[in-house]
Amino acid sequence: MTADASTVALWQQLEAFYRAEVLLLQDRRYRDWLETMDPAISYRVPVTTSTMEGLVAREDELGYYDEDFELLKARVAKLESKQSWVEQPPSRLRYFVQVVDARRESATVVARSNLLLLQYRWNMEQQFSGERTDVLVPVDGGFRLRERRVVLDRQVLGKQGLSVFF
Amino acid sequence: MSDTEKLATTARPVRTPLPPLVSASARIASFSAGDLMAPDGSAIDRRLFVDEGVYRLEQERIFAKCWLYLGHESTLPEKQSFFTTTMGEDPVIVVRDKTGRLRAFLNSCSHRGAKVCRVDSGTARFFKCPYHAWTFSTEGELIAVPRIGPVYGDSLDRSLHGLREVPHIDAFGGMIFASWDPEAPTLRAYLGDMAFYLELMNSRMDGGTEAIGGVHKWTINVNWKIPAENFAGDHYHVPSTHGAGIEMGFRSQLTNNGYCIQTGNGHSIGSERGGAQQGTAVQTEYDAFLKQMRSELVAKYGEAASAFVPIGVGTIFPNMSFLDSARFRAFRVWHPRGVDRIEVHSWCIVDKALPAELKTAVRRQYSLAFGPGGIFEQDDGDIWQSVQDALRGHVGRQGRFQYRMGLGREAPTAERYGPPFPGSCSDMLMTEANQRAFYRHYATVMADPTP
Repeated sequence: MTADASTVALWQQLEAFYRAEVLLLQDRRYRDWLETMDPAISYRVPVTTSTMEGLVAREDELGYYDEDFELLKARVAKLESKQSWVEQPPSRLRYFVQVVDARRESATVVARSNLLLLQYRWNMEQQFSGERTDVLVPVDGGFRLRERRVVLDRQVLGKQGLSVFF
Repeated sequence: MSDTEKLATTARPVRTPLPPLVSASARIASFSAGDLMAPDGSAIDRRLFVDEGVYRLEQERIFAKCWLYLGHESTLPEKQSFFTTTMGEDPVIVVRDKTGRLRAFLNSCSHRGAKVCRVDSGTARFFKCPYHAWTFSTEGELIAVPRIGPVYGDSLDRSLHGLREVPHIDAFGGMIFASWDPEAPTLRAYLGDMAFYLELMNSRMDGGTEAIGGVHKWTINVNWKIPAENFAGDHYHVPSTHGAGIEMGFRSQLTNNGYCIQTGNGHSIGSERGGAQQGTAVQTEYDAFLKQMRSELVAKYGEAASAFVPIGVGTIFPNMSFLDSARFRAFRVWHPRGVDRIEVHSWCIVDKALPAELKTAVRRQYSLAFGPGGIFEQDDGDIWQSVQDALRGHVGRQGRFQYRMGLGREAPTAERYGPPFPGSCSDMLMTEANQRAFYRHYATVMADPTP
């Protein structure tokens, strides 16, 4: 990749977007997190199947998350309830995001990043790692998230429950 | 005539097929049954969920004997398709052989035990052990042994060293079950009257059902009986455990209008009127589809039958549960992984004839509510894990859990809903009748034979 001025500017914008998102997610400010999205969002974390070719994720199969904007809003509404026991008391979350590739594609930017998430919940701790592929729409010097696909690095979730976003 | 119609027209004596009372003097592992439970199942000792001896005996008497759910026939679409799973803790390969017949084998080399298949699913012409390269056909035969002449001479009879085969495997309405017990009754006999309700759930549309691709797999640190009995009939937990799901509108507040039915052999179903997950938030067209199915059932059996679409939530003893709700249908298995841990396998099941967009919508509703990150599932698992945590200590394992709700209110289902509907039924939804039936059957399977 040549470090021309426009590429440097793109990476700076991306890093600003992901820094802001890390803060929203680890503070669990999910209403504000939804504001970073395009209402046409597709947010998908497919299940992975172990095959002789390694872990594969197929688009027409189940997802851990398989959401449009309405379904994401429904999840956020649930987590906001005082009776959302899985997050009573709330977890400590630590997100580590490393952008590894970015390219302009027509009017959007496609960014790949590595994700490491550490969660400390009242009765357990666990970590997730995976690869994000995001489609971002440029707006007002920043981005809105149009599409996110996260492939986790395992096929069995090793601890009970999933109460975090990736 | 469909199987449902055949079942409906079979004359059926009106009876209350409650499992027998538990004999207090019977032995279960190192305990007398009376130490572990009340004769009618209304109180269960906490040690039943933490005792290692009981757990080892469950592996022998339950998981190596009962018919266990393996998966859906639609996930083995062609000859030599396979998937791997477990029966209890025993790893198995489930495969369609060269002739298309269902087979299941212990996933362990007959030579020195290594797994001969180490992936979730695929197609295979053979299974080759990585340890010493003994190779087995999809019929389980030992077809290749490296250097057999030089190292064994003629002392190895390959025909005696195939993969260990599960003696009984069969399918009912697309649901594949298997049993290690050579003396097992037929699957149809094992399911008993539950077959009637499974037929109602699986035969709503011509063409039957299929599993959406992919399996949700996750672990929960809890004894396997806690979720199995919850799905058997714990409707009482909904207003509290799932208060958040009610508050945000995914489901309406639970009423006491509905049934809990047990059909013998430890199998149970239950449903509130109209099905679980009736709510206003994020609705799909599935609702209209179920209304259509309901009116077809009413035309066949009369108005009382409208209560049975969807069929509800249930458990097929020991560890297969299903959830046929107003929004989706899920099958799952609670695989034991030690006395205090399970691995859940969960599938979304749809009618094959459902339009493709609706299948996608249903798949998303299922994941939203009952995938491992489901807005209902996440609170169940969190609470179950806390139950197990609280039983670990010396004091925590003393005393009994209570299952007294609705005691003595069971009557033949046919008296309440009409002749085709088998089993015994309570006159309200919030009862622990199905859990009592689960544990009474459990005791009959676990107790030493009377000398």
